[in-house]
Amino acid sequence: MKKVLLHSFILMGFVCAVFTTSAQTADEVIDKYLTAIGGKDKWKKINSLKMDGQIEVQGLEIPFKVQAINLKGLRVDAEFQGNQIIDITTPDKGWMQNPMMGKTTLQPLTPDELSNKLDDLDIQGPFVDYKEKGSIVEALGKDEEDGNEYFKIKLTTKNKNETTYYFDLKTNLIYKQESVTQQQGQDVKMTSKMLDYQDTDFGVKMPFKVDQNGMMLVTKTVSTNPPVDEKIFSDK
Amino acid sequence: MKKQSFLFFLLTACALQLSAQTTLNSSYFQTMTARSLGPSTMSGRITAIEGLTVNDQLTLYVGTAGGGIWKTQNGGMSFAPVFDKYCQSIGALAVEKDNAKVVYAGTGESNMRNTVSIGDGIYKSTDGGSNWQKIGLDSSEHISKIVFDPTDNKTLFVAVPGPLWNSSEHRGLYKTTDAGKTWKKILFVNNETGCADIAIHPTNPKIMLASFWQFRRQPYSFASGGPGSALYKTVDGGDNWAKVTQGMPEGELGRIVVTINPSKPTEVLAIVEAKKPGLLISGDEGSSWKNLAATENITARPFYFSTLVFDPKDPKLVYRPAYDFQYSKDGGFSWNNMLSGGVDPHADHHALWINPNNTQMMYLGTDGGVYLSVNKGISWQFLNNLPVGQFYHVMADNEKIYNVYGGLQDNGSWMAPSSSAGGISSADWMDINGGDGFWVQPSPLNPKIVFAESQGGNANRVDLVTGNVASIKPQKVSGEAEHRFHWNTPIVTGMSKKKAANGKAQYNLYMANQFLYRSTDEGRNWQRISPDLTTNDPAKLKTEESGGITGDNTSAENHCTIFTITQDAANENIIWVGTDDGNLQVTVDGGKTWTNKAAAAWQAGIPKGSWVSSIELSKQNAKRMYASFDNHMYGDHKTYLAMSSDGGNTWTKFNSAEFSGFAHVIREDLQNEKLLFAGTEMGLYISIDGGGSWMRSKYQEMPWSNQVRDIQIHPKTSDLLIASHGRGIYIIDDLQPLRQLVKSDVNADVIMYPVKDFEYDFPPQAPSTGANVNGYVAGNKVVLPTITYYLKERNTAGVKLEIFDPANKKIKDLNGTTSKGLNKVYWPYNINPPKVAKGGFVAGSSVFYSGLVAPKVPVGRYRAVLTVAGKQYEQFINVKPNDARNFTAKNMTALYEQGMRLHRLHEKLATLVDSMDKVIATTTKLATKTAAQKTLLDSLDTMRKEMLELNRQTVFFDEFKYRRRLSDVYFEVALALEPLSATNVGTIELLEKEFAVFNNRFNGLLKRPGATAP
Repeated sequence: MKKVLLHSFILMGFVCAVFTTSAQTADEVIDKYLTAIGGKDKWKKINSLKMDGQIEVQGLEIPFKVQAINLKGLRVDAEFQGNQIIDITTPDKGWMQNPMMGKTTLQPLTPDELSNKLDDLDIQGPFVDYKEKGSIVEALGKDEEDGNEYFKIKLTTKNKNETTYYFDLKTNLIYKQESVTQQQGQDVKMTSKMLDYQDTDFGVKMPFKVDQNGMMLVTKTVSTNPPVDEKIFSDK
Repeated sequence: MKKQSFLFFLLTACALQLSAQTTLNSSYFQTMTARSLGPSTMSGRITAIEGLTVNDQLTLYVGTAGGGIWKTQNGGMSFAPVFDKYCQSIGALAVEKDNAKVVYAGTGESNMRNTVSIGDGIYKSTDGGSNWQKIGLDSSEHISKIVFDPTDNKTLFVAVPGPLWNSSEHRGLYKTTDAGKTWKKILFVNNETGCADIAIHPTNPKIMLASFWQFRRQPYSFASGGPGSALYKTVDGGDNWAKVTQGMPEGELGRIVVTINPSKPTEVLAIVEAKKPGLLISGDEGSSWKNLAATENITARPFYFSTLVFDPKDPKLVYRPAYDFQYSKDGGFSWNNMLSGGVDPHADHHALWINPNNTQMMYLGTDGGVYLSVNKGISWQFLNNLPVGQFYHVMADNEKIYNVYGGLQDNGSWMAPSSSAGGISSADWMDINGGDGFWVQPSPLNPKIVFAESQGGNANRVDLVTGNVASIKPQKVSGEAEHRFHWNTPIVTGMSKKKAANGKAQYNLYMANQFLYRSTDEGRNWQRISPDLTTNDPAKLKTEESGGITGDNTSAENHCTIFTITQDAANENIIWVGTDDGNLQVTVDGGKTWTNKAAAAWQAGIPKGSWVSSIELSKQNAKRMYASFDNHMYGDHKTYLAMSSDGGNTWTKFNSAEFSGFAHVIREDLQNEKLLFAGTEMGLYISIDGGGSWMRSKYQEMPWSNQVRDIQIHPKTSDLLIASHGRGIYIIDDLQPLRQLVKSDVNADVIMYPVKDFEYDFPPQAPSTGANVNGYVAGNKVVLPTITYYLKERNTAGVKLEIFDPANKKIKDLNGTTSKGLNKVYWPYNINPPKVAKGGFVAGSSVFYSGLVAPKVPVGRYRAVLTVAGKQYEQFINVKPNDARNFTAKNMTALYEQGMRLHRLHEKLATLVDSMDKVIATTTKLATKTAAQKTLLDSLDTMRKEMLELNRQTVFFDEFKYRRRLSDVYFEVALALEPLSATNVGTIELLEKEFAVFNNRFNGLLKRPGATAP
């Protein structure tokens, strides 16, 4: 349960952008995407975020809250049957509490776990100014999913995290993303499908539903640039 | 001019109409996924193994003959397929020397046996196999090797033997210098001769050796060798090549294997197919050669065994994986094959990867899977987790949990249950016959009798009760021509209306060589019921001459034989027979007279003489029939499928842009005549309009290019059974939703389908095979009431499903799935779980699980309500008793009532604890507390400690308070299949009484002064 839960937060809808290399086509696709989600200028003005929602799985509803300050900290709180689940990421440390995994108090992340999460601190999205952020992109051509054709772009961040994004060329939005993380040396593939894109009050577009193998992450409210106390990003 | 315009209009109109019909694709029924049954205990042919260790992490890629590419990052303890969207026949793999994520895959195996499949080019992944792109050599068909320039990751060489069944200009040695963006053919001999092997100098990559091989198959023989075969050498990186002749055997050559000693690169070994074959050694980087004293173990069957590997560190240690595993410790001068302990690796070896960081550790790819040695091949263990068996056929019996049966290329005949406790493990598969396996037919009347065979018609009757095996092969009698049994000889059953002499029911058993035989006594006695039904063309009876330079006559090239037999289900006098040389014969009088209808099919565009690979007689219309045809042995890999509506007198060929791969089989659904299934060398195809249009199965969790050899529809369960030649057996459970989809107006926004009545049932719970021998485990059939509906578009707003009981009370909320097309939601025929009292750490305890499970409903008529975009749709679900399994209406009602008593207790307890918590919170907040209020808090705290496990730290050290005891009983009853007995049911009453005491205590406390009501 825990594994799923925490990853789900990480993969939530912050799909902006980052890039580097050649691939003229890739840049075109990315530019259109950034326009479709509200424009990169708008995204660059997002410095903090609060999101509330729930995970829906097998009839269960698990409420969660996300609080983030761009590049400084990301904290996810959830509650399941009275058990507190907490996931905190900062640029140099991270902690996790998940009684379902036997972690009843906040415990530090391993370097590998932290490294997999660092890019989530970029709440302005991976494709906004990706080159400046040290990321590179590779166009992987067209591929079929769910009976439709998508354009695939692989983004590798400066933290060496690789994610493949499936762009819907009809809507210019991202339909799906796949990332492979390493756990105990084994590849673990995480797949998220982005559904129900909506405009937020701030004027950017985000997927309000993310389907992770049948588990639906439903965002209910998004608050942009609210005050967020940095103290919440610690194990204290 | 006018005429043309009119014609154009007509064509356009037709095209428009066609496109309207074909808007559906297999993503519209992606909810109908296949279960991959395995087995892994008997795996399949492995063609390539490559690996790399980076940062102590070993990554291995395994290429297979028909099951794609599998990846492991734990040394082979588990594998995952990484190539399921592409061609499943793998010829060669290569991994970049310092990055395990960069992989090149050449499709099209080059172990050129009769049943070898083809590829469609070379692919590349830069992310460890998650994503692949085709990067060229589309017409190569077979790729035998990919090697890197050891000094440049962007330069690679690819050996392309090329097409097996026809001439081709695409053979040769290819080179890229830009990591696969562009390719140049750097050595070409002629259209009949391709590149079989390459060896590159480890430190001076300008020096390379390439072997060229003239090879061709025909339907009735093959020829390895010819004037084109030779070894070539370059010293300038491939710009110029010289034929190497010094020391080579006399006369025409065949396949040559060449390998450079990595520790001593001046030394090279080669195995050369020739009239006098040999193992040769060169001391001058391959310019001149000397014979070593090779035995036939080293040189036998050169077209099939092309692996010769030096140890990466020890210049004297050489391995020759071939028919068996030979090794030499003196650089090839003497050889041994002794094994000690472990298991004998399956015969027929095609790949060997030695871990350069630990040369004790080796992975061997064989015709039966991957083996691991940790002592340089002295002993081996089998990796029981690669379900890549190559089935030829699949059959099923009629048992309640039916068994599937099938024969595997080189790997015997097998059976397994379609569901088993804990899932179908590799240990659930039983080996019932040896040799190569093909048809396995269970007796339709006696589930304990099975007919199985090995190559060339060597059939047996296997008695699963006594364990007796008896040969049933029809034998030659006086005056008959020599029998010609196909490699894959048909064994077929057909129902009979006749009675045996003892008055019992009987059935017909058929086998065939060039003649057709019928038995009514389980193959003890055979009646020949036809003349030679083949062309009996002497030009095609050349199996004795097969092999080319090296003779090879294993019955694999037997030709002019009967390949397929189909008896009409309603009239046993009507029998159709198809032959591998193009005849399509029918008798309507039980075999007295025969008519060849092949020419009628040829008129419809089926190439003359095409192998008749399957004949399907409609069960719904006596005049309708289908056939699949295979012309690949003449170099024509197109898909040929045809239908006749007049008993085979005239035919219509099915056409589709979706088709690829030559056709093995076609089936009509047993209930819906519009629903057709076809299997080809490159996929499973489905038509929902009687063959007018076809779609490739992509979203059913099988490889998109699955090599589908056989398809059956189970008459009782409507399950679709698929024999994959590379991925074992697949089952798509219950075609009913697809039948409903076929009849639907797909332009409707939402359709909710009637729900099949549900008889109480459970998958088997015991006994199960031991975890240590499980290997690959397949999921069981889901046995639950199933609600199906169609959505025209994917729904992002959410789909709600609610279940109402017969009293119209809502009892269950289910999350509806939101895919476009068919959706399938299982209702575990229970109500919503109870609200469980909060407090303390509960993960992993029965308290935790109490919040997830719920009592099963009693027998009755329930209503399912689907809500989509504000509109509601409903269907009824009849939950019925199953007396045969003791799920009587009475028992299920009792079980439900017991469960509900406990469910109510949980909810009452939760409410009580909520109330107590509220009082505690309110009272605690008071700035000043009276003594009574303090006492109240103390009393409530005491109560909480009696009711809840508040000091629990781990699952291993739990408290047993009221909530835990309630949860233990509740959990047991919620999962139970029968009610608590008279002696046990008292425990519920006890819990009820105890709760009443708690409740009264709380109410009493509230009456005290200073207490505030919650």
